[in-house]
Amino acid sequence: MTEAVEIAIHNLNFYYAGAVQALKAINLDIMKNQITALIGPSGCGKTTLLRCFNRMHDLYPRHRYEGEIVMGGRNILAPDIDLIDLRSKVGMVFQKPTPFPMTIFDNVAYGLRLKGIRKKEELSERVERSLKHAALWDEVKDKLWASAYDLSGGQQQRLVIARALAVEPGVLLFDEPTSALDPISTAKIEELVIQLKNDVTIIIVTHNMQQAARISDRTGFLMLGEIVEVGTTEKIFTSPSEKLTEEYVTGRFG
Amino acid sequence: MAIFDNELAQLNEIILQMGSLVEDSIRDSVRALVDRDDAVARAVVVKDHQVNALDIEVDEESIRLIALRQPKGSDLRFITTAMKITTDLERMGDLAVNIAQRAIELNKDPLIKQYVDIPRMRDLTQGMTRDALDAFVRRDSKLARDVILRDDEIDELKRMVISELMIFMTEDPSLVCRAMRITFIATYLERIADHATNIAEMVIYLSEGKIIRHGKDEPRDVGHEKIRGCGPQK
Amino acid sequence: MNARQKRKIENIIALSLSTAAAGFGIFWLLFIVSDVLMHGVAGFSAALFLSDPVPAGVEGGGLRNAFVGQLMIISVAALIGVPVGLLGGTFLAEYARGRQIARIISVLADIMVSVPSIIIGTFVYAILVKPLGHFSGWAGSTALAMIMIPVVLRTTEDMLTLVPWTLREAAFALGAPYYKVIFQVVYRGAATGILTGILLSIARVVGETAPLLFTSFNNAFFSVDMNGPMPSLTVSIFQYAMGPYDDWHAQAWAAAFVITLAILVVTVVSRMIIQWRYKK
Repeated sequence: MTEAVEIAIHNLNFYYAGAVQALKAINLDIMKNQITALIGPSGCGKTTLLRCFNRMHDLYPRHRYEGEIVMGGRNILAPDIDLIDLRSKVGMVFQKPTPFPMTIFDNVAYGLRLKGIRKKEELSERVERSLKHAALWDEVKDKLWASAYDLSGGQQQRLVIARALAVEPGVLLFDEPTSALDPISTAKIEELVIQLKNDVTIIIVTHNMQQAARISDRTGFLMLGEIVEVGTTEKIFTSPSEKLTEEYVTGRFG
Repeated sequence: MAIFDNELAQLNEIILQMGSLVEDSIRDSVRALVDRDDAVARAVVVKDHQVNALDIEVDEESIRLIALRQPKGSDLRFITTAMKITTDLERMGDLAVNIAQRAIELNKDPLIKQYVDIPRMRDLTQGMTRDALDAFVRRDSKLARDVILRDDEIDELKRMVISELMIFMTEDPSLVCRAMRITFIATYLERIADHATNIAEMVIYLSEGKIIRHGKDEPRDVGHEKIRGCGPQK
Repeated sequence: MNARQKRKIENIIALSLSTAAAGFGIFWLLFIVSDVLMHGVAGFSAALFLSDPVPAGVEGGGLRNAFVGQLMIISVAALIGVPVGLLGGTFLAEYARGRQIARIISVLADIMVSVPSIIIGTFVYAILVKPLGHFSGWAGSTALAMIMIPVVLRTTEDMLTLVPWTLREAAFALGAPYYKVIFQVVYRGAATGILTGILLSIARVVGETAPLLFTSFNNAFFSVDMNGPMPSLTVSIFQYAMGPYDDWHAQAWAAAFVITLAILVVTVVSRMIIQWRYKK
């Protein structure tokens, strides 16, 4: 099977507020159309790393990147990168479902309208497509103009996924997407994420090891801002090379 | 989860494939003896490599599924049963090879007598194997229990065959080599039947969650190796 | 007596005292309201709304000019006060979030909310009336706006801060620039609270008299010229109530009733908006 590298991280260091080093010498390849999971104990830097891919850190002052993240032939950490453009290529789904205070339709259409798409037919068609893609269409097709807050937690999270998919990103980042949901909704979202990898490359941060084992193709284990081991999920969970990895996945710590 | 269901179905397929290969080997190994056909015997030996490869494949896949899918309930019983059943099937394949090897040796020498009981044992054993695998496919514990009961018949047949051969050996010592080889074949067939019984016990565990191996909860006569004709003459 | 009995007695005493206190307060409230109601309704007539005041001593006349003038002054005040307060609150909650300057402005706004309105009236007199040499509706609106701004600003700031940060992050993650995040997402999320704040600030200034006294003064005639003294309901009530004539008193009662009713309606409407919004 030919594996293409979608994103390549070279020697990434990241500092919060100028001084606190949160990531040390990260080298990692993210494969196209695969699900890569980032696991590790609390505070290991997995969410920090995730937020580098769409440069969410730029919202906060006095952060510092060192090193490169290469995507589509360009280093996305360079200062001359258009963040608006980057964020339409790299979408994000957060831990708590965050629908906007608008109708379901307007939520999904938000990103499209940001890109300048105004025509009603095009919007309707793309909204429908995204909602189908996120396995939510059947449940909301009769109430597209109801408030997004009418939906249950699991449905809201799928709405957020549809919203992210609408702009057709190449990469989708998930930051613990099911930790606020009940087990049934979690299972539905996991099934959805597995299907999505055919169209987008997925990076998921999860503190739930079993979830990483269930859905990911590759897994990276981080501790204290460094990558301890990265490899196929099967290897990491059946016979990891590093002792620390073995101790973590067997639940001996963390 | 859809992907997991696919993987379980695939695992099932491999087990059935293995079962089918082993059934063929049992049939062919005795055919090699009855038809006095060495080519058939050699084919049985070669085919065993496939059986071994499938055994390894099932073990690796089972471990992978346990690590990655956290199976529960009947899924967990299925995967652990899969590993055990294929171990039995692999041993059955090896025993069929042993039969084939004895057949090649026996085919060099003239017959002691027409083979009647060995084919009968083979038919019984093959029937038990086929039914055990059918019971597995359908998760049919009733059929499985039936297979377990038939084990006594095979044990009885084996005793008969060996007793008869002992009489031949005492009357004409030149027959000893050939007779011993036939004794081995009978033993192999009886062991194959034992493995089929193990598979049946696994099927009961799979469908009911009850472990009845080693006579736990359901008394079963563990075949006593009593050879009539040996021992202090009255 | 044992502990249980003691507690029971303490409970009864506390309950009685608080009921009595509540009753005392409510009694006077009802007394005032019913007084206004009775006297106000008695002075009601079509003429009150349709005619202008007649010369002192002459019977009849109405307060049409005052109603119109009050509306104009308040509208202009809102036009000045609401945008300034809104944008100021947005600045504090968004762009200056967590910064020292935000805290300073916030505290100052809190102080200004409690500044006596007469002082604000005097201040505007000093800068907009005395230098120009005459009273004006603009000055009146300015004074009222200065009372409204801190209220709107603080409410806006509080409501915007209540909107969870993750909502903003979600909008950023879709590629929205900050101003769009604020206008399209955060404002919508805080809309109810901000609207309520605006309505309450209007309710607050509807009944103000002192600031208008020094700025827009009053006008016995119908006028829509904001450059000169403007008639207003509150100052008219003040003047009529102090005057010697009975039908002046009657008109003052009626005007007072209308203002009370207006404030009541605005407050009730803002509560209803909250209820409707959060009922889901």
